[in-house]
Parts: sequence; C-alpha cells; structure tokens
Amino acid sequence: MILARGVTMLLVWAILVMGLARAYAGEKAALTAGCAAGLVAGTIFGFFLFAAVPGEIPFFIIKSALAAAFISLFIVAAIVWYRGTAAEGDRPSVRHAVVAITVFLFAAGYGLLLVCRLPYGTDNSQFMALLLILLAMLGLWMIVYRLEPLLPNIGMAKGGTSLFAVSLLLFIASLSPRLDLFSPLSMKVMKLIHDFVHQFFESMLIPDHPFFRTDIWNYIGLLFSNGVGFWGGLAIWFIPTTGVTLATFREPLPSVAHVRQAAVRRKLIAAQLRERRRRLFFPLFAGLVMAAAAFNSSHPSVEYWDPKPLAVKADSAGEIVLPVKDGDVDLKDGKLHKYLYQKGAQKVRFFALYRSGELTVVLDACSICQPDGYGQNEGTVICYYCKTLIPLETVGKPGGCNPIPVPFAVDGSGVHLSAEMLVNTWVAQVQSEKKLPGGGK
Amino acid sequence: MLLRVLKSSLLNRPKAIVLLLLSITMGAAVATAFLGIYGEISHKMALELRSYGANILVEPAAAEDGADLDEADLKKIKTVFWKYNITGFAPYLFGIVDLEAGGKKARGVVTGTWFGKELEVEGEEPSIQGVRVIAPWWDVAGQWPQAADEAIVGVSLARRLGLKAGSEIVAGKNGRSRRFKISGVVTTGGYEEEQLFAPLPTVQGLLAKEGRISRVLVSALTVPMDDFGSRDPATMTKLEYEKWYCTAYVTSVAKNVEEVVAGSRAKPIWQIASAEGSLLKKFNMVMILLTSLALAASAIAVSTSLMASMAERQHEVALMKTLGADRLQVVTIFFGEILIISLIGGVLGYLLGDQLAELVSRIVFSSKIKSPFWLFPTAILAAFAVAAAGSVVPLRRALLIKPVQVLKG
Amino acid sequence: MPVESGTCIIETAGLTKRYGDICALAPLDLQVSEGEWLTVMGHSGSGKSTLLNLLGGLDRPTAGRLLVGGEDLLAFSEDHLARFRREAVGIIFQQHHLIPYLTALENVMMAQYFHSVPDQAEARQALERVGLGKRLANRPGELSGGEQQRVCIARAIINSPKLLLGDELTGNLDHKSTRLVMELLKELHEEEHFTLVLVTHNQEVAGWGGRTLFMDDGKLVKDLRHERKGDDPS
Ligand SMILES: Nc1ncnc2c1ncn2[C@@H]1O[C@H](COP(=O)(O)OP(=O)(O)OP(=O)(O)O)[C@@H](O)[C@H]1O
Ligand SMILES: [Mg+2]
Repeated sequence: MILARGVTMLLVWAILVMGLARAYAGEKAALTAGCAAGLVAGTIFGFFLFAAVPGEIPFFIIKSALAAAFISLFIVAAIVWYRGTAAEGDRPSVRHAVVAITVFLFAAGYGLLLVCRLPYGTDNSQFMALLLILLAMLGLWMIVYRLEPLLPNIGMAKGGTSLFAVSLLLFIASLSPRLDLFSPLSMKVMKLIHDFVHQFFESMLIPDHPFFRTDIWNYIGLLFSNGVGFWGGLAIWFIPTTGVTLATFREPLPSVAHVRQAAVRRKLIAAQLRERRRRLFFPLFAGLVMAAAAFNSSHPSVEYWDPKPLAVKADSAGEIVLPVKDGDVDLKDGKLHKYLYQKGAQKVRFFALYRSGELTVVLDACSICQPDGYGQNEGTVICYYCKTLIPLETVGKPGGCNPIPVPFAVDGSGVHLSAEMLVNTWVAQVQSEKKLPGGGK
Repeated sequence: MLLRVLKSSLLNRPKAIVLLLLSITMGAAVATAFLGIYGEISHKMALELRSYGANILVEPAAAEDGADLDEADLKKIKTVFWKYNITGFAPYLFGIVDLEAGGKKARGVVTGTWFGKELEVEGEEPSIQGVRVIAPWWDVAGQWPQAADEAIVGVSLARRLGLKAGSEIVAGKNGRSRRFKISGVVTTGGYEEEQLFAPLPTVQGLLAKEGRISRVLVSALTVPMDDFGSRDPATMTKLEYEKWYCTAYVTSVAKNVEEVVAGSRAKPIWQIASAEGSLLKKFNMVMILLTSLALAASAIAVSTSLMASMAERQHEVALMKTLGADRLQVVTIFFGEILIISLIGGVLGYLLGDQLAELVSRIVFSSKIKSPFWLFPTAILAAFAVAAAGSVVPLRRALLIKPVQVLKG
Repeated sequence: MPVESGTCIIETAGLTKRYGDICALAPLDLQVSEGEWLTVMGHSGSGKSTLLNLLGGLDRPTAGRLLVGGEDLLAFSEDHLARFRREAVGIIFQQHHLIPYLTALENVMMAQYFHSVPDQAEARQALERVGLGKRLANRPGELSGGEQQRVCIARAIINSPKLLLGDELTGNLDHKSTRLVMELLKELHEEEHFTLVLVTHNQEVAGWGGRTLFMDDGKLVKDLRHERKGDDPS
C-alpha cells in the first residue's frame, strides 16, 4: 500500500518533470534549479508545518493553497481566452527568473503533498521513505531529461503549463480524502443551489402555487438531490481546462489569403491546424488528469479511509478529551478518526468510530497482529496486517483481530479517556516483535 | 472529411456493416452477460457450498474407546479468535443401544445432539446452534424434536422398524431405558439415516455420560487454501506463524477451535474445505476462459468478415494509396469505421448482455441481479478489444496492398 | 509550337524494372522538360505502364537512377513516396477508379484530404471546370464513362501536381468523348503548366502531344518530336 503510494507519487513526478521540461525546453538550467529548490523547500516546509502546528491546521493550509492554485487556473483560462494561446516556444523572451519561479511553485506544491502522503509511524520510517522517494525522484529526473527530446512533437499552449502542473497536484490531493478539493467543491455547489432555490421559492411563498403541479415540484426537487452538487461541481472543475481548450480552438489561424495557389494554401492551413492540434495536447491531458482526480474523489473506497492520526495531549489530570464536534471534525460522521498520543518514547494510536448508533474508542491495533493499524472501507475496517475485514458493528468488541477496545466516557464536553490507561493497554496488549503468541512451534 | 467518408462508407454498404456489427455485438453481449452473472454466481456458490455442512471435525485426541469431550467447552467455541467466522456447530454423543418399537427389536445408534439450541455466551450475542444450522439440507418429514423425549429417526432405520411420525420407540442400554416419541423421519443422504436423533441431555442421561460429548462438527467461513496455508505451522518463523494464525485458513480455524476444547483434536474435513476453495477457483477459471473464448471467437468472426470486405475493397485501398495516402491515413479511415461500429456494437451488446445475464440468473439461480455500473464501460471495452483484435490481420493485409498490382492499366 | 525549354522534370539513367527473368523495362535514359506533353506508345506488354508507374512513384525500379523534380525517388521511404504522390503527381487510369460510395464531389475532396485539408468550394470549382458542375452529388455508378474520367481528371489536378500521368485514359471512351477529354486536358495543360505523360494505343491521342516515345519489349525504340494536333486550326 505504501509502495503503491510511492509509485504513484514517482509516476506523477516523472510526468510533471517531463511536461515542464517540454514546456521550457530552452531553459534547462532555470528548470533544474527551480525544480530542485521548490522540491526541497516544499518538503522542508511540509515537515515544519506538521511538526509546528497541531491537528487539522496543516491540512487546512495545504488545502487552501491548492484551492488558490485551482482558482488561479480560472485567471489563466480567462487570460488565455482573451489573449490567445500562441505557443510559448515561439517567444524566447520568457525570462529565466520567470521560469524558475513558476517551476519552483509547482515543485514546492509537489513537495508539500509528498509530505502529506508519507506513511505515519515512527519518525525513522518516515524519513527513510522520504529519502528513498527523493533518491528515486532524482533517478527519474535523469531518465526523464534523457527521454524528453524523444517525445513526439507536442507544443505547449500558453496557460497549458500551469494547467498541466496544477492538475497533477490536484490529482495527488484527490488520493487523500483530507486534501481532496473536488468533494468540498461539490458540497459547496449543492449548498449554494439549495440555499438559492430555497430562498427563491420561499420568496414566492406559495407551496401550492396553482401553476406548479406535483410533477413540477418533482423537478424542483431534483435541484436538491445529491446529483446536483456532483454535476455542478464537475462543471466548475472542468472550466479551466475546457476554457483553455476552447480558446485554443477559437483562436483564428493566421491568414493565408495572400497565397494564390489553392493547393499551397491548403497545405499551409493543414500545417497550422497540425500545430494547433499539438498545442491542444497539454490542456486535454490536464483535463484527463482532472477527470481522474474527480473520479478518485468520488470513489474514495479505492483506498481505505485512513486519516493521518491527530496528535492529542493529556491535560494535567492525565485525561484526554476528544471534542465530539469541533469545526469540520465530527466524531459522529461514521468515519474512523485516528489519534496519536505520545508519552515519552511510547506512542499510542487509537481511533474513535461512531457505529450502530454509538461511539466507540479502540486502539489502532489488535492483540494478535503487528500494529499496522486499520483502515475503513464501507461497512468494515480492515486490519492492514492480516487483511481481515472486521464488520463495523463488532468494532469495540474484544477478541480476534478486532481492535482492542478501551474504556471511555462521553459527556457534553466530548469523549474522555485516561492517558495512563491508553499507554498501559497498548503496552500490555499490543504485539511487538518481542512478544509473539505461541511462537512458531 | 474523415467523418463524411466514414458516414458514406457506413451508410452505403449495409450488408458488410451489419455482419461486422453482429459479430462485435455478440462478443460484447457475451462478455457483459458472463461478467454480469460472474460476481453474483461466485457469491451464491460460496453460500450454497457452505450449506453442504461442516468443514471442521473436533474429536477427542486420545485414541482409546470411550474417550470424550466436555460439553462445557462448547461455549468457548463462540469466544475464539475466529468466532466471527464460525457460522455454526453441533455436538454429538453416540451410543449403541437396543431399540424396540412395535414389537420389533434391533441394535442401533442413538445420537444426542442439539437441534437448534439457543446458546447464550457471556459477552456475545445469543445465537442458535445445532444440526439445523450446520446441516440445513436435512429433510424432516414431520417435526423437529421440541421436548426432551422427542426424537427424529433416520429414514432407513424407520423403514426397518416400521416407524413414522407419532410412533414410539424404546431405547435401552445397560438396564436403563428411555421411551421416545418420534416427531419426524429425517432424510439426510448419509449414514445418519440409520440413526436415532434425540436431544443431547436426554441421551447423556440414557448413556450415563452426563456433560460429555463424542464429537463436534464446526462450520466455518474460511479462505481458500493456498500454498502458504497448507504449510506445516511447525516449520514457520514467528512472523509467518503469526500471519498464518491470522488468516482464516481452515487449518488455522481448526487449530483455534482445538485450543479451547480440552483434550481434543480438530481436523479439517478436507473434502468440503478443499472442494469449496478449488471449486470456486475452478469456477473462476471457467468463467475467465469462457469469456476469453467468446471474445476470441467474435474477434475471429470480425476478422473474417473484415477480410472478406477487405478483398472487396482492395481497389479502394489501392486507389487511396495512389492518391498519396500514407499508411497512417489508410489505417485511420478503416480503423475509424471499425471504431464507430464497435461503439454501436458495444452499446447494443451491453443492452443484450444485460438482459441475458438477468435471464440466466432468473432461470439458474431464480434470483434477480442488478448489473454493476462498471459493466457498461466493460462492454464497450470488450467491443473495442474484439474489433481491434479482429482488425489487425485485415489492416495488415490492407497495408500490404500494392496499387500497381491491383490497378492494372 | 516549339517544345518548351525549361528545367528537366524527369531524368532517368539506366532505369530498369525486372520481374524475375522478364525485363519489363530495359535500361532507359530519358529526359523530360517541365511543361512538356509526352505520349508513350507501343505494343501491349512493351513496358509502357511499367514506366509510368515508376515515374509516379507507385513502384520502385530494379536498377537505375530516377529523378523527378530534382528529387531521387529511390531514396524515399514508403511514406515519403506517398507524400510525393499526393503533392507532386496526379494519376489517371483507364478504368476510372473512383470510390463507389462517395459522390463525385467527395471523391475529389478525398484527394484534398490526403494532401492537406478538404476544401469543398475549390473541389466544386474543379468539377465545374471539367464540365460537371451539375453532377456534384452523383455517385460514380450514376455517371457515364466519360464523365467518370473527367471526375478523375478533376481529382488528379486538384492538388496542382507538377506531373500528370495518364495510362490509356481514353481506352474505354468513344471517339467523341475522347475528343472532349483531350480538349479538356489541353486546356488544363495550358493553364496549369504541368508536365503530361500519356500512355496510349491511339494514334489520334498521340497527336495531341508534342513528343512521342515508341517502346517495344521494354526498350525505347523511337523518340519523336512533332506538331501538336490541337494547335492546327482543324
Ligand atoms: N507484376 C508483374 N509480374 C511479372 N511480370 C509483370 C508484372 N507486371 C508486368 N509484367 C510484365 O512486364 C511487361 C510490361 O508490362 P506493362 O504493363 O508495362 O505493359 P504495357 O506496355 O502497359 O501493356 P498494355 O498496353 O497491354 O497495357 C509485360 O510483359 C508484363 O507481362
Ligand atoms: Mg498498360
């Protein structure tokens, strides 16, 4: 699973570098510098962010940055729409600094997301994974630089570069439900339409309007359905790529009226069309990537819902309090919420889950397997170690590969747990390499 | 222009097109139908196979006669690690007794068991356990025993003694005897048809073996055995052992049960355990094979009809080449045609295959299936695959056409 | 009218085509100037079509040198040769090879499509120019032999080739249609300045050109320059 993540990240990296190398073919130095600096800055900033700021805030920051990038695509699309998309390659006036800064931003975004996608767990494994991935990236970089000139002759439309890079970043984000932008977008759209329709009809004040028969009300009801949010979100999602694609199409071809011989004229037109078609590659590719991102987002079950554990601290009385509702976080949303409590070197991962109408709190480990943790998939949680599916209803019951339950109390202020009890239960019940059942006799 | 050419070509050669469309549609339809019922069937098969009974037999470890197990351990079966995988179990206590009914005498086996006992285990949901759970195919003419002195009798024993529902039978051993009222006659298709089945406590009293049982049959949901599962746990490293213990192989579940039933040895009933795994595996193979065969067949059909039409159209190809079409342009035109046809064929095939799948599942499994949404793209892809595979040879042939030889001046 | 003296458009040296033992074309040296109207005559099997196919880039010679428009056809790859055909050559055959399911207009546009992009207005003009302005939407099956041949001519000249090749293009036509087609060719030849090479068995057709080659058994036996028939006021 971690391997799959790593491979995906590397693949995206290769595509990103390949595209950028093609977009700024004449600017290899600026490209390399910007890329390297951006990547390093992004990862370091990412680590710093997660270390310094607790809870959901780092995700919020990264998500906001992504949203800003997405919104900037609209600006790009608007500019392209009014200015045309003549190939950037035709204008050698793109300055090194501009290239370097652009590339820096993209690479930094990638670095940030890379940190988010790293496995949690002991710090060592995280750094090892990062080191491995960075090494592999370096290797890929070399290969990609070699391969890039072999690519077919595809030009880069103006605006295509940012479209391409941002869409790749959004794709990575869509792989993790916490960073995904598409679902919140659809939610917003749905809410907006909902509110609008509500107020619009409220102002008419007539539920039994003589002109509105039931079937018409049914159509109005359609506006409230989930589908509206999805399709509306989808429409907005694709505006930038569609905009740039259409702008490329819309752009008038240079006049060939001065050429007298018809066959020659046609040949010129054909060449121009071919060139324009090449410029369409990147916007269309970006569109595909965006589609993949939207798909990932609406089919999150492809990956187990497995949020990064939130670090929690015990108060002076040795009690950990998890608020049931805190901003975006709602413990009763039926998804598992992971937490990490650390006392000295001892880390305790546990999660809270609302199922069968009750909250339950269990360790992120069972008493038999290595504590690889659990992920949630519709109706079940899976033990990553032995791949056993455990029905949600039985989470909170002891035994088998079920996560180890811990005592807790719920009141108005939230879920109360004893920190000491957590540590003790973990130490006493969770398997480590030293303590195996029976031991291969 | 390309579209114009394709349109004219498709509209003006109905015979060839219909033939092609037919083969592609068939391919897509068969693929859709197979895949549509596939998921449904393997699920149903697993359940149906499951109903063929227990797959773990728990017996006393000691080999001597008269060794037995403690009934009190039965509850622990519901508390083992794999308790959620154990769908049911039933204890048995056998004894050879003298039977007497309506003047006829015979020696026979009386078996004490649970028919459908409500089992309460602390900390677990109450469940029903017994023969009715693990042997649902037992066919009882009459009633299952309700009271302590009711019994059911195997059909061949009943025939021998002339018993039927409502008759009475006396079983005696070592001076003790007990009168049973026959509530039903059971057909099982196995050796059980020679036995008399009565509630466990009653038989324990009769045989003076209070609280004892001879064996337990356990029915568990297991994962199919693979190479790793069939390794000897004794040879495993700690990590491997842990993984093995943690996977619901029939062997590891058996071991699990054995640990809680004192003095027992639990062994998988291999016929069922392996039949289950290998049957499903074989079924998967058959399905995949059939689907690929069907696709290959329609690809060949596509290939033949394309070949025929290519022979007809070789003048056309030669002409295009004479006009200066390069290989890509020739391929574009012909492949474009095939692509359009296969798109139509894919849609038609999907509709057809969906109906077919529904029909099959209604006839064979008498159940409705709802086709998953991914079936549609799969059907289209199958159509494309068939078309692409079928057009390789004809297209190669087209590219090899030499204008000079075809267009003799 | 004297032979137009221009640059050489066709230049062959030792051009040979062999089919196994059969020598379809003996080593042939030939120079044709730009804008010339050349007729090739000879018995059946004398290698006329073979020569024409080689000139049109439809076939490759066994040996020899072949320059058309200064380019060495032997060095071309298959696809390059295709490009040469669509850009530099127009070919007309005896059997009017039109695509049966396309209209006259679409048949002409097909050549434009392979060449670059289709242009309906231009294709219509070309058909009007060969006198088929009213038969644009008819399929080949609905046209007479002469009309089909004129569609072929419109298609052959649509991409302004340097070289127009005709293999017995009047072979299936009666006297009147032949004359019609020849007059059309003459008109086009004067306007478009292409070089025309016609293969024919027909003495009369040969008369329309300014130079006639006589071939026998793959060899060039006579190379005759003469008056052009269309020029004399008959
Ligand atoms: N593909 C081939 N294989 C073998 N021999 C061939 C082939 N094509 C042509 N030939 C031979 O080459 C010779 C020249 O043929 P070509 O077609 O050039 O004759 P032609 O002068 O055009 O005759 P016609 O006036 O009858 O059309 C003939 O003898 C013919 O048999
Ligand atoms: Mg000939």
